Amino acid sequence: MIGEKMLTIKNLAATVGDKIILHDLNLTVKAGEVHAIMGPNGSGKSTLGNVLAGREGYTATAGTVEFLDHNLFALSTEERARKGLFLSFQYPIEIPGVTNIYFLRAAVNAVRKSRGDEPYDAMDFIKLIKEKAKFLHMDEGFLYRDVNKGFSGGEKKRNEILQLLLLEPKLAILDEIDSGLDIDALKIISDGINQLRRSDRAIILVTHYQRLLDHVIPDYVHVLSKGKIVKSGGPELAKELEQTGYAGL
Amino acid sequence: MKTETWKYTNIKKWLERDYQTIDSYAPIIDYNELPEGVIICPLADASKQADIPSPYPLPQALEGKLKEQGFFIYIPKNVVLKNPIYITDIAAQLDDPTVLPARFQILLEENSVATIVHKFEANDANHYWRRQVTEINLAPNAQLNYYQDQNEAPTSLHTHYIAVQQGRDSQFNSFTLDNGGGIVRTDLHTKLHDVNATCHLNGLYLVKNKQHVDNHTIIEHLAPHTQSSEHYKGIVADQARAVFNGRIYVAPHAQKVVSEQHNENLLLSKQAEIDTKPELEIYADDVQCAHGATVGQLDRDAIFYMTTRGIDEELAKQLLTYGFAHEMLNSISHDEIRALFNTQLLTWFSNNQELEDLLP
Repeated sequence: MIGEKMLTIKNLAATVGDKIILHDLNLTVKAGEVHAIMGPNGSGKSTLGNVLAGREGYTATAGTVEFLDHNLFALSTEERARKGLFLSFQYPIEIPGVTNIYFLRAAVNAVRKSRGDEPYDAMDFIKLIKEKAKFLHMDEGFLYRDVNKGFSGGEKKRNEILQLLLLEPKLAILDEIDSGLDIDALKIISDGINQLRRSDRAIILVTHYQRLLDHVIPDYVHVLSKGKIVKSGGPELAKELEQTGYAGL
Repeated sequence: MKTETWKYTNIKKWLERDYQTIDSYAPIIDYNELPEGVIICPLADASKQADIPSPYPLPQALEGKLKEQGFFIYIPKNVVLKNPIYITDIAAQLDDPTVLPARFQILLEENSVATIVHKFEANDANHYWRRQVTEINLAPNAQLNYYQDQNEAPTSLHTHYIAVQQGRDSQFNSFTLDNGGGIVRTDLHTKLHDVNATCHLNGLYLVKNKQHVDNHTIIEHLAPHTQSSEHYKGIVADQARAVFNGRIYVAPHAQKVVSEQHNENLLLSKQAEIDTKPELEIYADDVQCAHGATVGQLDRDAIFYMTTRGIDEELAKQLLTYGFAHEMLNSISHDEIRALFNTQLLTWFSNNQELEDLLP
């Protein structure tokens, strides 16, 4: 419910290889909130998402992260997902040989199973997914192609949002979901995100540009620079950054 | 046996055994609606016979007393078979060790079309040597689709020599699925004798535990304007070993030949081994020949991507592995056979319930 603690990051430091990317990072996100994390290239935005999802090679070296009641780092990547953490990828991975619809059903059923819900059979799932795909203006042909293989940049991002709508996570971290989109696609994707805004769910938008935040209005805006959050404020902070740029930080 | 072609596959201990033999050879041959003139009969009853010696050496004890039995399949001129002919060879209830020598002769006359599926299976048989020879003759404009479903016992030796002679405008399409066997050696040798003869050789080898699977192919372009394509994929797990050797020969006068060869391998463990070798011998100067071999591992990024969506790491690996192999089955145009091979592919995965539930 509203106000419930979703994610609490305290003094987080992280390395990629032997390079320190994040240090002394603090962030608290509660249910019902939308946070935007902005920052220039190389500030550590994507690293944060990868550390939270548990990607190989991204190592937390100090600090704690609590996700709901769990010590996040004690959970495997799939356990994090099943408990409601979702990371959309800046560059979604292409998976040759794996048909999108099977991948999507495997994901949805894995999450449902862990919640104690009945898995969808093939027929029910097709019904559900067609409805979601229609909402995102996605051609059904998508479902029968290999995951992300040969998809355009915009198609890949829509496929990410499709997964988001299907998995209904508690906390969604959307990494540059807006990059490389034309204005129509941005509108469709924003509608998808807005549809998910709920009192028992939190969303973190990681973005380079203010543009997305005209469509999905955040409650809080944070500026990430050189691996830590240097400034926090309301939506007006994003507008301010649009004027002054990151150079002033 | 110390030749280059046997460099990776050692059957020495199999040549030193004292074998039992069986008296009668009776594969199950299934077909529907066989048109008039088609002959399927024991080799001994066939009037027309060619004789190609098997390239595999014989154990000395068997020299001179090996009784080769087999079948003759004849498709007359202009006959198009709608349904596949299924040959099921079951090595059943054998004493150790037994040798099973068998020979098939397949003759397709002009303009005929046939599909043959040869299945090799085992039931209560351990140390046996299946020693198969298949001779195929394709008259002008004939087309044969030839499928092998090799599912032998893990303690057996399976050797299969397939010699194909192709006339003008003929087409030979083959698919070899290796899903069983202890030591497996298949030699597929096709000769494109006249213009516009075409062959497509495809294969999928699924190799695990201590299995050893060796596919040797030779395609001889002996006339101008002949075409070949070859695509084999392999998955090698545990301490298993696979060998792929693809030789393409283009004769000096065989201009305008188009030939393509691909071999892709997925290694699933550090102890697994693949030896892949293209051998191109091209004596004509106006030809298009391309070849490529790859050896890779499961994509860590793809596994991570799937686990971030809640999919179990084991299932993610299975999906990737299945996907890699399944792409090969798309080349099978016959629905029933594709489904059969897909079922075989699924049985290769131990603990495959989740994977099976997911797929249609």
